[in-house]
Amino acid sequence: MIPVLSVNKLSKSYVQHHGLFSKKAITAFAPVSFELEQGKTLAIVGESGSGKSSLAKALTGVITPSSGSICIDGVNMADKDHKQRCCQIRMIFQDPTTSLNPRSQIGRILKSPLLLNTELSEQEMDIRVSDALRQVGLLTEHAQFYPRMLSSGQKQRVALARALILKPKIIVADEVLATLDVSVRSQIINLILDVQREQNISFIMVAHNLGIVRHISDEIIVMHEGHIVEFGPTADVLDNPQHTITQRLLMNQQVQFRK
Amino acid sequence: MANHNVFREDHIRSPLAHSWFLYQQNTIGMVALWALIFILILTVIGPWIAPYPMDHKDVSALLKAPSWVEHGEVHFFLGTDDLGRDLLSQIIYGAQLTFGGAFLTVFLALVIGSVIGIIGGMSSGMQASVLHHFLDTLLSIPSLLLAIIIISVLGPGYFNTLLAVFLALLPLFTRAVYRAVHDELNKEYIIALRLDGATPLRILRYGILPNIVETFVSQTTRALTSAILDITALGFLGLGAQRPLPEWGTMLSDTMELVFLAPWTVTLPGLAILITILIINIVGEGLRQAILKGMD
Repeated sequence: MIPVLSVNKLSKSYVQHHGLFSKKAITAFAPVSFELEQGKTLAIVGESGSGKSSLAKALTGVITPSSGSICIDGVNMADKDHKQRCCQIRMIFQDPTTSLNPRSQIGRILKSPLLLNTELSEQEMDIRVSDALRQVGLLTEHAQFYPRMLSSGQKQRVALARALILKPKIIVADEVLATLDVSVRSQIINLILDVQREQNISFIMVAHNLGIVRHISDEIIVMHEGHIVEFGPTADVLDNPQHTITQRLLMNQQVQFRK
Repeated sequence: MANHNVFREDHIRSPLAHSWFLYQQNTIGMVALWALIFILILTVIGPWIAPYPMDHKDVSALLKAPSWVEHGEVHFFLGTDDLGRDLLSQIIYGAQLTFGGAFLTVFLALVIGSVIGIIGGMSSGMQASVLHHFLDTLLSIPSLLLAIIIISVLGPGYFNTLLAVFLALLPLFTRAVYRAVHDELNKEYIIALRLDGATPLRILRYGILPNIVETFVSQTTRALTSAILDITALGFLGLGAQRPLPEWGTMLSDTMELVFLAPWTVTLPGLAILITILIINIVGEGLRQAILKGMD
């Protein structure tokens, strides 16, 4: 089976200037390579500062990678602009309260990717918007609302609808569950799993709760200081961790659960 | 009576409409807003409603007291000064010079400064740096001192005053707008808009501008206050508008020596300045708070 996403030697480093002449290169993540099949979920875990968020941002094009290629269906996306990229790969941000424009109606927020990337007429767009809203468990009427009128769980649903509305192949979710409380978190997880089953979308989840990761992901990448230290099927990696970092992460969270 | 609104549908207001609704609840703010509108109308149609022409001097009525005082006459409602000029007409004409001049200057500085600030904020690297620090040196000098420097080069006069005030305000607007745009650009909803493939112009129109209205309002009212103060201060020091122009600050300095003989000639222009500035500040602060509250 051909992987829908294949990442080859992708890396990102920043140059930091100290004074006039001295420079220091800071590596966000070293060259990483991995593949993802259609309809599968890949989890990226690691400590904070391990480069997992930067990797997610580089995949969606928020930051431009220093080197390497991102191929979706065999087409290299690294040199494409946002317009060509966003129909294939979409991003959901960590905090739903800051990722929706407080001055725009939900309908307008959802319509803007359609307006920019499709040739649909006004009515067709309205239909797509209300379909997307219903798909994530909201009502058509929510299109008239402003973000301040919604709860944070509903906002995250809107963010998911925004990602889904262009019917992408891959959705990158950057710690989407971190800011939600437990009951809303499980609703969103179930919603993501439903959507994945219906549309056969691949997910890349940046997460730190290993319990959730075990529940939803097929494969897992463990990152440490910009390097992939462990990569494989989730069950194998979590049941039989090889690297000390993975062992430490597991131990840390087990201690949390035991309390 | 029967209530026909069975489902009690709440009308959904946009954040700006909601801010306006909140502002309407603020009684003092609304009074000040109406007063500001009154001053604006007076500024525009002043020459048509002033009882006497600007240079009208009545030698038979020197230093007449206001009409409510014992020796006052009703056709010189606020009294006259030492040359027999009607104070009411003078203050009405002065509104055009002081308030109108400040208003136009601030408007020009707002437009030009914001354009520079927006272009600077949207760009990066060298261009942003040049536009951001454009006229920065002017910021290190207090606006009144800067105006005095400019006037010492160009010579005193009303137009030079406006030019000096304009130059002093420009970097303030550029800075404030640059900062606001720059802060906005790093927010996640702007990144999301960028990932949708939006052009910079679209990001500006739908993402940034609606979210920095508060900066525009607070900056404009502050600038309006300082422009009025600068224009009147320069007039008072004899560097700005010269008599016979009835600029409020010039009127004050012109009649200073009459303060014991005819106190109304000093008090009334002073009160006009005070009330105008008070009104602008009340309106500005009210609007700012309403906009901030309307956000959440």
